[in-house]
Amino acid sequence: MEAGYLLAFTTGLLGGFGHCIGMCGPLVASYTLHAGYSERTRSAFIPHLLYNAGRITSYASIGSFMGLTGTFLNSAGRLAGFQNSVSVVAGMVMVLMGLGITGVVKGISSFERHNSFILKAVKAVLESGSPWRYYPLGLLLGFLPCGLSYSVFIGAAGTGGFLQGMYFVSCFGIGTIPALFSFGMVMGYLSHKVRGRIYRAGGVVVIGMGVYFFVRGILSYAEL
Amino acid sequence: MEKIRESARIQGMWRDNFILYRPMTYAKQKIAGATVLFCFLLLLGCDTGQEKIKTDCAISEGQCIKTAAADGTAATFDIQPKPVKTMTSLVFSVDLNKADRAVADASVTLALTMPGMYMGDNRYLLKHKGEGRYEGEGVIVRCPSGRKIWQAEVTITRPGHKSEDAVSARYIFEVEK
Repeated sequence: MEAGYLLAFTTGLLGGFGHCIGMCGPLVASYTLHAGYSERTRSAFIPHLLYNAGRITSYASIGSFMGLTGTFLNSAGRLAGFQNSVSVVAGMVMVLMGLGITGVVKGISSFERHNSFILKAVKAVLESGSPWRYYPLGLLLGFLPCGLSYSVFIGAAGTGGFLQGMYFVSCFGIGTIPALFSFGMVMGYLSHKVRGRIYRAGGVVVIGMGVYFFVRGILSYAEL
Repeated sequence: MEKIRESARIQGMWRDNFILYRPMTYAKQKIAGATVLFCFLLLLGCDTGQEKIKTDCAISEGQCIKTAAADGTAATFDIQPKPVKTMTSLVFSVDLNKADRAVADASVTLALTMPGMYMGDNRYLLKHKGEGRYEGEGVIVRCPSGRKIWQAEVTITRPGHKSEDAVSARYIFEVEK
């Protein structure tokens, strides 16, 4: 079984640079641009650490579920609706982030008259001053549907155990950290260097990617 | 200049040395954002990233036969049930023949990859079911970005041969979502 865990970690390492940056890079860029850049190095990488910790927590929970049930297809079927909903929510969050980055919307306060629970939760994540807000963000976005992670979940289902499945997928998640963490740090550094219109253009791109995730989630939901 | 700085500060775009950059007006920001959004919406239906990859196996319509170039073994690849869909239980089968004789003593592995996108290690060891037929069960996972073209590489190792002497055949096919 140790070889299996090593394989999962290697899959994450290879997939991180070859797959994750391409697919989830926009998400990382979104919260990095939204967070801005801090002069203090330590606080610069804490959001990325917490985001990745949240993401791996989600993976581990799915992996334990797969390992416990011992079946990928039945479990994936049950998760499909929830994952598509996460894609829709992620898209909406990215659009809000992008609107904030471009300055089009000053903040969630603009929607304060629609004082729903969801808006309050989104406001807490996007506008709270605490770096800990990136952990629930990673927790949520870790549930986004992903072909590479599906392949790993198949392996987790094959472990046949709750803890084994959790450990298997956690190894994969840890393998993806170098790529996404370094990408986030580079984005944070660049966001500090670019100014004015280039920075706002990044916000516009974030809005576009948010729309993409939103539409993809809606279309996938319609196929169920 | 003070008015520009004040405007930038109000709009949350205050940065060090911001005074060097003239902020976009509110109306221009909206126009720029709407333009890019419109372009992205147009692009949503385009470019799944696999338009240049040609399939050579209509797996949803029937079997696919190829010859492993090194030793002339004919490998017939099939997937059931049809049409071949993602996220469903599938049976992969490979029939091996050489000089009109079934090859019953090979070790056959099937590796599924997606051209242009790393999708992890999807490898199956097929078991011999008799008369040169090797079968295994598995799943082709769905790619949420819309890609549907997969590659199956069948690797055949005969007893008494080294792994580097293994022969292989590749099939590129499209699945349904």
